[in-house]
Amino acid sequence: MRLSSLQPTPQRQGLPPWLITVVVVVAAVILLWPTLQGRELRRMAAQHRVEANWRPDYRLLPRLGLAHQKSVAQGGELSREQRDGLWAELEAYRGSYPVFFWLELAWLEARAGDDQRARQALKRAQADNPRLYKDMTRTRLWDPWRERYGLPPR
Amino acid sequence: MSAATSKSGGLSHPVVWVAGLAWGLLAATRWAVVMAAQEGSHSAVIWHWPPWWLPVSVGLAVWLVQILTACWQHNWLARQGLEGPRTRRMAGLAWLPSLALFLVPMAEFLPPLYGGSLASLALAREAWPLAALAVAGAVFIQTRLAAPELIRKREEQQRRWLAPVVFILALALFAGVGARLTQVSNQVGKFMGGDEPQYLFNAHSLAVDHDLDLAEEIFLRENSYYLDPAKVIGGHGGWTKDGRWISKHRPGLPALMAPFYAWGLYLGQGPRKTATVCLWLLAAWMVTEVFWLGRLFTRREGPALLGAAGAALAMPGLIYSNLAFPEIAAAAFAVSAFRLMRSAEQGQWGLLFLAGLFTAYLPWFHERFAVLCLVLGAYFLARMHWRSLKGLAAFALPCLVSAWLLVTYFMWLYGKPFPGQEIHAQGAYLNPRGFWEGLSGIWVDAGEGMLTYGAIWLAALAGLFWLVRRRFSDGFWCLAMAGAVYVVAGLFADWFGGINPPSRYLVAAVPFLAVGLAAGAHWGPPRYMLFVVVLGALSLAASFWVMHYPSAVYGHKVVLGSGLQFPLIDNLLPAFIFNYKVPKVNADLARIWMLLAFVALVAMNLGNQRFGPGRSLVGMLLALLLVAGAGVAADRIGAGVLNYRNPAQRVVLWNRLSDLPRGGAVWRVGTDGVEPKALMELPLPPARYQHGAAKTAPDDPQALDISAGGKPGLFVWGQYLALPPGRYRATAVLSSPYAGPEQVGWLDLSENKGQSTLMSRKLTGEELSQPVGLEFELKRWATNLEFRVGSTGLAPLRVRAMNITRLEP
Repeated sequence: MRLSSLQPTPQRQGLPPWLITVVVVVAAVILLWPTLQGRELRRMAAQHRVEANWRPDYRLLPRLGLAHQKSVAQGGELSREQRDGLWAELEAYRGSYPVFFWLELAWLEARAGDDQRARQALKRAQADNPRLYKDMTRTRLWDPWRERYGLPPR
Repeated sequence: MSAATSKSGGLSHPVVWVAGLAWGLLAATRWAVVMAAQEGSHSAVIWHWPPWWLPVSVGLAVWLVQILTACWQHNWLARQGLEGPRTRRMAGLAWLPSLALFLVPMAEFLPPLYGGSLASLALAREAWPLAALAVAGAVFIQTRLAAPELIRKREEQQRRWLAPVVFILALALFAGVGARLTQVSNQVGKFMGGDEPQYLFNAHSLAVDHDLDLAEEIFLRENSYYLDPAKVIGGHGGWTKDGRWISKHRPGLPALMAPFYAWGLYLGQGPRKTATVCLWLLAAWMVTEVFWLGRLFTRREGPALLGAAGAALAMPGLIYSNLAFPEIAAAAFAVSAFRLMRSAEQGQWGLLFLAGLFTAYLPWFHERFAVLCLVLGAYFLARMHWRSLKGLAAFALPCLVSAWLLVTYFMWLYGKPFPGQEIHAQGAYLNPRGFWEGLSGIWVDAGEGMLTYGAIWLAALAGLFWLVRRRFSDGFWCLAMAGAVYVVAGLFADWFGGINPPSRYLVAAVPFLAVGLAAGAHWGPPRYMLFVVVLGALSLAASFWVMHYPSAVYGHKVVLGSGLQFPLIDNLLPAFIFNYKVPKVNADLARIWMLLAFVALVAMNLGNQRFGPGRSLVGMLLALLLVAGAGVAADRIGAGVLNYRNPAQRVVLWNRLSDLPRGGAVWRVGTDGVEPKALMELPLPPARYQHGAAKTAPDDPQALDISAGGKPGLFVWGQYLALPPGRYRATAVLSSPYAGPEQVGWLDLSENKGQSTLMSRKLTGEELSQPVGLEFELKRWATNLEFRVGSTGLAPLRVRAMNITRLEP
């Protein structure tokens, strides 16, 4: 037996390693399950809010979240009816900083291929807050349409 | 010797009777409510006493209890087989430290009588329970030392089930803290401040988008899952060259919280609450590591449990167990890496790999923890683990990979391998106001200091020096870890940690300091445990107080003293942030208390395990005189104990006056005619409670203007006072250009947040030429009481001042 100058530690006892491994893996999968849902999680969270009639003055937020997730999941496709609903919600919105929501709506319109309404939403965003409009259109999310819509360069 | 002789024999020593007198006198003089006043250079102290029979009977009762205790003490020694005159003498002499209690009433009565500083009076009024506790502990210790052969041999124990129990208890404690914070925040607003929402924002992005780009989250305002939806946050971020909005906060903590946060979204519950579960687990893990490390060093469970209890129950660990900052996670990772390296035998590469992983992860919480990585790396080398190639690879490989990834990350973000100073809130890392501010303030500042809210850490530091003395390597490296955290935090311009609860940046040092508690309990002299008990009681009181009123530790408030009779903490300690206009005074005050702390550290590293009641009495007297001396010096340098700037302090005093039985004497010492008016008036600056269309007056920041033509309504409300029973007058000073007979406004008093109106008065223009008021009597405590001002809109109104005066003690 080789002697060490370091402090000895007690012999390991207890559960077999394979059992510990199984328990750890199962626990990790359970813990990570919602995270593994990815963008679907955005839909679930927004859906919870819609069902609970969360904050009627800010009900636009979960609806935008649902539309965003749907647009991403369906490659940009979003029904005209749903987009009209978002326009109506945003026109009625009286909360703070609508510029972000106009930009989001413009992005959804652009992804849906409706250039005219996308430009219209961008104009509303610019009119609401020119500084934030200029800053927030620097996101890479706008790269496909940057030149077409004459957005500020990154 | 018969039992009867034995009982009476214990009382034959005169010290027992003199000690009884000291205890009785202390108890009898606690009942007075003391008010101090100053007008120019004249001062007066007024004692309000209950009827004479109350203090006398309480004093006699305490004396009786002391005599009974002395009988029990002597009998106990006799039962141990120690009999005879020598035992009687030792039992009697063990009461000698009690004589130090005479200093307390002397400190209260003599200085005002001779025109001395009132600091000793204030200290004695506030800190006498600590003095009593210390003296009682000293008597107990001397009794034990009278029979040294009875002191049980300390056993080495290693029960496997104890660590899980520690973990579960700590988890339950932190969950309880979480429940309390949730309960309170539902009442008075959310406590999330500073960087917390930004860390949660990153956790949201990781959970939902699996990336760090926050742009989508900003557009969709997904911070509304844990903040008011009207608020917009951006994660304290900026644009990268490739068009991503990335937070300046590192992703280490968000990555750990993300799975827990995701469960909140998944279930439709508050994701902040589920993310906090992750913090509870990290904090409980940190406490368990302290237990393991304490047991490893001392080979005993008792001291290890003490260290774990200190880490869990004292501030700042207690509250940071629930706050989304990387501090508690860094503390857990650092102490775990340290313990694994300390436990690992040569070549145990599995443990070293784990230690390497934890070390490698540290800078992902914040780059300042890279300093801890360097210390841990040095510890790895000092433990000689590098002699095994497997061990070297197991530890170094994760660290090198992590360092390379971190440099790549910083290059992508900032175009350089390490962030520059411009990312800090003040644009610089080093404190431009000088290093002493942070290096001392982080310990003794009234609002932000670690010792102010957790005095037990002074005992921990003293214990750490015992560890250095008895196990140099272990002590040195624990001290190096704690010291690295302290120096990095103390030199930083924002050493106080923003608006968040105090000593945020010392949280990562908590486990290494807490190990000192275990070491001190194991190797320190009996006086060390006395020190732990006294400072522990103070720390527990502060922890309970913070849990009772958590919003007080946000936003640089200095309100720890509001629970006391004199605003001692406010006035005798430095307040670098609150009192930023007097840096020289703050620096000098800090010197006084740092010096006192140093003396305490030295005293705790001296002493032995022999019976010595005379020595104990001298030590006790020196300790009391040193604290009083420091108080007097601070009183002269700073604003002084009579600078009543804290309104809450008055309500505490009024409550004591309400509780005082009537019919007792009133003693006055000092100049006639000097009255404590300031203590009987509670100013309510109108501008602080303005609402609606009321505007702060341009020429007076305390006053406010209400314009004419608006709808009738209330414009001043929201003081939400808790007032004890008594007679009061609420006074307002208003003015208006209209001096006619029509009603221009009204005053009212309401309680329970406006649910019931106690009294109201209409105000005409004619009445505003002089102060207007409402006299009222409260038969019981009034809660959420408001003194409100309304306007009819007929004429412009200016509300210049408002106050509530207590009309009789």
